[in-house]
Amino acid sequence: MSKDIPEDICDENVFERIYDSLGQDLHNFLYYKFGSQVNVDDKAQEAFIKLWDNCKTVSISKAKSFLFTIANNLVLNELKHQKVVLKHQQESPKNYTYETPEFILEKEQFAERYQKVLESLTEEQRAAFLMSKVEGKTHKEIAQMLNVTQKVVEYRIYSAFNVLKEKLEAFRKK
Amino acid sequence: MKKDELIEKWLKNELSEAENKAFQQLEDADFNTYIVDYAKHFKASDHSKLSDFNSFKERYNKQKTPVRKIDWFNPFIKVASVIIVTLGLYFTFFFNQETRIETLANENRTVTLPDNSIVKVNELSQLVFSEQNWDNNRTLDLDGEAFFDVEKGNRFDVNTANGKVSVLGTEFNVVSRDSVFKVSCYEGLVQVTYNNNDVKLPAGTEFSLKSGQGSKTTIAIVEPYWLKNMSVFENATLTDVVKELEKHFDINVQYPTDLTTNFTGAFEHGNLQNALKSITKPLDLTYTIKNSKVVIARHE
Repeated sequence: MSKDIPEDICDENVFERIYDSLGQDLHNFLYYKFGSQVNVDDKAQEAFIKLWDNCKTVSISKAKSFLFTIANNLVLNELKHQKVVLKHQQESPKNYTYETPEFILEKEQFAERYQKVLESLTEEQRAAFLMSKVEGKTHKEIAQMLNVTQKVVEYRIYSAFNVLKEKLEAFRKK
Repeated sequence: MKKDELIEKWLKNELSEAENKAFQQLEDADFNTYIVDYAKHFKASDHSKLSDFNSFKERYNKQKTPVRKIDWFNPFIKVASVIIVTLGLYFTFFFNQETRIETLANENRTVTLPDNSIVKVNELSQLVFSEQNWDNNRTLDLDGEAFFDVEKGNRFDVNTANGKVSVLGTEFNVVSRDSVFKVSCYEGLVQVTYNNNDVKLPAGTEFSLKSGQGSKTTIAIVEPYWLKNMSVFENATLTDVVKELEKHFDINVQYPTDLTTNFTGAFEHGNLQNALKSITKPLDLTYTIKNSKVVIARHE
């Protein structure tokens, strides 16, 4: 029923729903892609401001790709090829405690190396890999956000994983 | 199934039960899992979170305000813009800052105009000109006496109550006091306009206007005597000479008014005794000075 009635995103209640459902994903996408070199929260909000300003011309079905495209451009405008900096969480993430396996010899060095490799990935590889493996997004969801095909997303994740594995191989106890 | 294919499928979370077992059998299965799981150390929400909708709305409304367009139909803005435009026009076209130079008795002043032309202003004279746009409009107003050394350039006009003097670059002297109007040209060419008449004065000539009648005479001197602190007369009545004397020394002079002979000569400004001698000797008169009052009389 409600599918037939085009929802007006200028309406504050509708807009708030979009903000709550897409905001965090947009924010995370920007963070994984560009790291902490930009104020990710700020850029995500700016993209939402642009969306609301254009709420008369953007339909609700187009809102998602509009937001991700705008936010991506906003950041690219600001960045002049700065190096990506990701923040490493020193303690083990919540709800995910595990022992350091035997094959990892130097825990601290591994952490440092992991971060370096992550930062050296292309923005596309890193964003797809982290959204899938950290946020648990399906490939389909990621493909929608980035406005690319699912195959592209799969390829990015696979190549990201291969780079990580190859560069971290040295930490494996033979 | 090949190892690469297995890992690819594993990354897609599409392993079947059997495939999962095969994956676990891989010698680097633990390492693969560890690499993927380790990514959770970089979870975005540990470092940065999106602001909630309310703070977003606050920011949205704040950002809206300064973008508001100026309402040109607001009566206040209408009035203000009219005032600003009017003031702008006034200052551009009508507000000319004047330079006014006035000399007192016994005071000479030398003025350098914006184009480096030099004006020497004699005592008790007034010179007014506008420095704005001087190069295109070299016009000044004179009441009294002044000597001009004009740089070459556009037309140079001296307006007086008795007539207009125009030049293109020359040296000349202008006297315009009460009904006396005299222009002396020392260099170049001067044009004098009076009562709709034009007179051209080449170097070394002098024009004087007496009771509406203009006349041209030659002058031999290279610059006016007052520049050298002298007053010069040619065929002048004693009344004219005494007036000039009284003005220079700020004194009162009694003299015989019925004298018919005219005076041709000069007196210097610095010394009263010498000046009186210069005037009385040629006219065969005597003088006495009593308490700053001078009496000129015929020889007894």
